[in-house]
Amino acid sequence: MNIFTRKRLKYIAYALEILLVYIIQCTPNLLPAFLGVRPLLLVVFAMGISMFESEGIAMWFGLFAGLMMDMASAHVFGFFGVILTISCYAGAALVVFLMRNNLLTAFILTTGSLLLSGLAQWFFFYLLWGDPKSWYYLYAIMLPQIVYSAIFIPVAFYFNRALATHLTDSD
Amino acid sequence: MRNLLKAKSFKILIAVVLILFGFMMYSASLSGEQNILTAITSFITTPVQKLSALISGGIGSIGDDLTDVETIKAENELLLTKVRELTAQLVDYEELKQENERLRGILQLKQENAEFEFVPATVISRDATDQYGTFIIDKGTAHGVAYLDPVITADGLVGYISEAGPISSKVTTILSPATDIGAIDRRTLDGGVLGGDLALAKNGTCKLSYLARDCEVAAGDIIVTSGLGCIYPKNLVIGEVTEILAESQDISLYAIIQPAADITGCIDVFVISSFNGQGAVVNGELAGTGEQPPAQ
Repeated sequence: MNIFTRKRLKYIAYALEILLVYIIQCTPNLLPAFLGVRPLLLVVFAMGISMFESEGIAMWFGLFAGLMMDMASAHVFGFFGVILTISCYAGAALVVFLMRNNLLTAFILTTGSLLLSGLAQWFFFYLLWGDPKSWYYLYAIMLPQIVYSAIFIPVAFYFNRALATHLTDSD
Repeated sequence: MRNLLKAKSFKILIAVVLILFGFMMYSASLSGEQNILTAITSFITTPVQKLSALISGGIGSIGDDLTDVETIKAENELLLTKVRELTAQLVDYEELKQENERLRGILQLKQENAEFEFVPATVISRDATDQYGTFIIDKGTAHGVAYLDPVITADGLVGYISEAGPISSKVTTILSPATDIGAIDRRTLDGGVLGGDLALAKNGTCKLSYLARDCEVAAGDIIVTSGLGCIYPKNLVIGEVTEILAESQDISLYAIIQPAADITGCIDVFVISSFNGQGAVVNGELAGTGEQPPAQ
């Protein structure tokens, strides 16, 4: 198998992975709620992919995952697209230029991305609208959601590492 | 790192983000319609989501089955096989009984309101980022579902169609602050506006606001739709009053309502696609939409 076929296979595998994670995240009653929240698996897995790709490729998979999230989202379409496109690009660039590619980095980058997503939601959908309970969102919803989602970071990291290693220039 | 800012990929990132901002503005300008991208992809994702919802339902019932069998096994190991069979039958029976009760409730609703037209639908996706229980159903404009149609279960009101696509639609629930429903206490006829609240939504409750200081609403009262605004038909059960509290910002009271329908766990719902007085014109505008009525 030449390098182009392997790359193509890898990208198809990533796309299928995002589709599967989307289904798991959105299927009613599949994942149990923890403190009333459900995990944002698409953020975790999109960041997992970006750890093993260049910033250009990571950006496209971030965009894909973000738009999938937007499809089921109550918020304006494109919101998570923007967040995940930027997160995945920045995540991949940081791994390429500054940080080591290990589980600790995955935790830092993914948690950062979840925090960015949560703070953006809080700012644009609660604080700006003058919701008197906007602070409640930060500690009662965003925080448990980040903790719950973070449980899946090792799964996403090792799964995508296996995928990337297996389907990259091992000829 | 400085080179990164000059890289082609960074310029593409800026372009993609700008296009997305444009798309966000376009989506925000659509009132009740699904945007083109979601509508196209829903043709692929809706069948897959239907299948996964079906599988997750199956997994849930298998879990119930195993729990029952474990209990019975401890009690009588010798009759394990027989108990398994009976338990399985019981699960089937319970499912049928529940379905029968659901359909009976809808039938009763239909008998009481002969003019109602229902579109049965299944919840195929739930938004993990939304605290108000927003979900997607497997029916759209091709099945007669339209923007602002009320969504119910046999137990009571669930919400309304906030985005109608060709084969799927988004439902905003009564837990959301985006919902404003004219509602009355069935016993005392005191009226208020029902809507959501972030903290209450986490507990699966909502609030009936703008109750007068001298109102007689009490815990245990049943709250129903008033029919004002012509978006929801009159007398749909919303829920039960659990507590009456004073508003902190004015002199009115509000009641905490426990919805009659299982908002965050419902699987089968019904869309009321037509009822008497639906979308009536109020002050020259299509009720509830702020839009001009279409030319006749």
